[in-house]
Amino acid sequence: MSPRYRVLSAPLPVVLPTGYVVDDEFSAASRRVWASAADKVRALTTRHPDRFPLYTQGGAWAIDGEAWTHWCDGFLGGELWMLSEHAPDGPWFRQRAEHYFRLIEDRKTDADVHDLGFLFWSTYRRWYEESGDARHRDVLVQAGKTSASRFLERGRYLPSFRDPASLFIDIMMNVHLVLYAASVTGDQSLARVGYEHSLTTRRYLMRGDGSASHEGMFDLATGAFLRQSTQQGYRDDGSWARGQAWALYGFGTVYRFTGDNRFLRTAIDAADFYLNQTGDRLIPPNDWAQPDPPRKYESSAAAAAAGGFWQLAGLVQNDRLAREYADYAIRILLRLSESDFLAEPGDDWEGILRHGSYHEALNLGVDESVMFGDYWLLDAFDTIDQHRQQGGGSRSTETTQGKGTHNG
Amino acid sequence: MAGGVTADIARALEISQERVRRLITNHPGQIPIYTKGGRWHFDEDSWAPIWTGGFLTGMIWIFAERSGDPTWRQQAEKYSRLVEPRKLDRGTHDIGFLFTPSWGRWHAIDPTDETREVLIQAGRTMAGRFNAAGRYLRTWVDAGSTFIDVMMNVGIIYQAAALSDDPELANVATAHALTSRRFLVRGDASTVHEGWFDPESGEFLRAATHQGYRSDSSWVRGQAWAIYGFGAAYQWTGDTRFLDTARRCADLYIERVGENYVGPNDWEDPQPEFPYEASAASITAAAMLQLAELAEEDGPRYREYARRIVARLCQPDFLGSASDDWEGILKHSLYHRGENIGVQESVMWGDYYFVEALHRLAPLPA
Repeated sequence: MSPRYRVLSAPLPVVLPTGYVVDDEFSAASRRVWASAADKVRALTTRHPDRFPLYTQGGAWAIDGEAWTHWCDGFLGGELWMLSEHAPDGPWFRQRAEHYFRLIEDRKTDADVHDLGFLFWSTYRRWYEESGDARHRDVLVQAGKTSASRFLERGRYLPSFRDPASLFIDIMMNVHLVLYAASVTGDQSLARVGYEHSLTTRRYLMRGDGSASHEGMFDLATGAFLRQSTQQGYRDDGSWARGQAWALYGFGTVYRFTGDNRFLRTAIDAADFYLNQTGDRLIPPNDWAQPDPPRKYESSAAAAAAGGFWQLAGLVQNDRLAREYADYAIRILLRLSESDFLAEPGDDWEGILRHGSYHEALNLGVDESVMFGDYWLLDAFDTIDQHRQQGGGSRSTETTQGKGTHNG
Repeated sequence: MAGGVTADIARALEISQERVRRLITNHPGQIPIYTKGGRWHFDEDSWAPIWTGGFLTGMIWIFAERSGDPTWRQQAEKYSRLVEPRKLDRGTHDIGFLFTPSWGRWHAIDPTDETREVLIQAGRTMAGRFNAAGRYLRTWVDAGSTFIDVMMNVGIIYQAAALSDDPELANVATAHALTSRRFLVRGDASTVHEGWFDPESGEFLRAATHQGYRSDSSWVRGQAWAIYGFGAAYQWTGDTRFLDTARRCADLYIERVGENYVGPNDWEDPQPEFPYEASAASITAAAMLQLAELAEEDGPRYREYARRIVARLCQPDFLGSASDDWEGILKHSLYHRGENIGVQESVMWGDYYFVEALHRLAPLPA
């Protein structure tokens, strides 16, 4: 491949500083989280088999709720898979997980959405890492190619589902699927798409203070970038917290696939903005720029950010910064496992994590459980549990998603 | 080079001093902005309220300081007094450009109650442009507009704040700098020329440009203003966010311009009409020399790159020779293509920052 669009043959490992020790409280928090998840996910998939709700209404999953867009259908399968490793009756969850994976397989050719990374990295990536089966890998590669087919040459970005002229920060959580397909196939045109999209997003959706814009609008005829806007934040010039988490996590992931320091730098900027805005509160509101936000918390942003902070801690090659980010990730997760956020097994609340919001403007899933909040909470606990099980902190230990080579 | 004055810098200082001497001798008391066919042009500026009087004055102060010659000093004071009434000018955002190189240099050399009062008044006038809803200093274009250039004019507010012990003034400067950092600097450390706000609600609306290629592109002189302006904001506040932004902007310049040292007018213009916009390079050289004093371990890197920009500008295609009849100092600057003024000519700020860079590279013995 030409050095201009270099994609690594395997993503960079996430390696915490030697001797880094996760707070002991994490064990108890982890047990609470997996116990709650086992109960809630079993109930949902038993009561409403083969359904993919996005959010709860008054704590009950909205089975026929309006979706805005179908972007979450991989998260439930991913949760089932993780539970097969963390819940007492693993085989039951495992069988369910594979079933839910198969339910979404056809989406690998769905070119109408920008979220195939959310769908397939949560599901078939796990399956392939375990099985090494080329059929599982090929689903990921196909989904990556489908995502790349949306690329617009003029503006050099992958558009959102909403409008070809629209670019979302959320797509940074999906674009690594294109880079993954590039690394498996050696197809330079895929590498170029993944790279150019990430560079365009970095330039136009990231601001000089490290904050992220939710959406950018382009002129389709010329490719000129026109202005920043938002769908789920407070105002077009605001700072939507979940978008910040997507940026922090997504640019870190793209750094892992490319080794390009520009993306690491942007992930650090995004992380520092989150940290400076949120501090000891740990959990942000829906938008930091909103004066007197009507709800104190948007917990799904915090859950996604925790995974992003942890990943970044393992990438920065700077012990002080790595410890700061890792400690912050742990503190967020401990906070989210307290009783005001984490639903109890057997209580009436059907989701796992409370106080998330999907879409305030459309009044969808506001101050409820949201499927992506539950998923990123479990994903972060799963990653850090594995880190601890593997001896917790030696430089030789690889700790999070992307174990082994993806070329398998 | 390790601190000494190299031959090209000494020669460039001589040529610059001679050309300024010729201008103020042949056209006493006149302050042109750009040349036309190499001759200083004295008509009104068709684009902006006159904003360049401080630059000619600043060069005279530098020559006065370097030579110790009382005639230069007399001229410096005379030109400073020509600029002085602008301390009350509420029609421009360029108060810092007018007063920092002129009265700022005077005050640095020889502070008096008079220099202090002038600088305080100038800073207060500049701070009067603050829009509290959007937390920015407005341009002369519109109540909803700010420029990246305005970052060059927050220093005068900080100075007034320090001289008058008025933290509210400093807060205005910092608020503007933070707004510019958020909305005029992009995630790749490129910069926007102009930002538009709703002046009532303060909401940031969109980026625009006057002198660049397109609203989403990278006007190189704006990049240079950002390197200098955020460096100055750090110098006044010690706020490392500003140092970080200045460094990122400088690093992008180095990445984009590399061993050409002098860039075009806009990096994204696919077919630049001219290969060079020399004033952006001279500003960048001065800005990186300022940054070199602030950036600790990376200081030598910025200093070396600035040295190379200056060396390039000292070559005959930019600087000419002592005997040629070009009246400005640096050729191949570009003021405003749309207005067709100062196109591939000398411009007063391009000359000033070149001389400032030479002065920074060749400090006088203590």
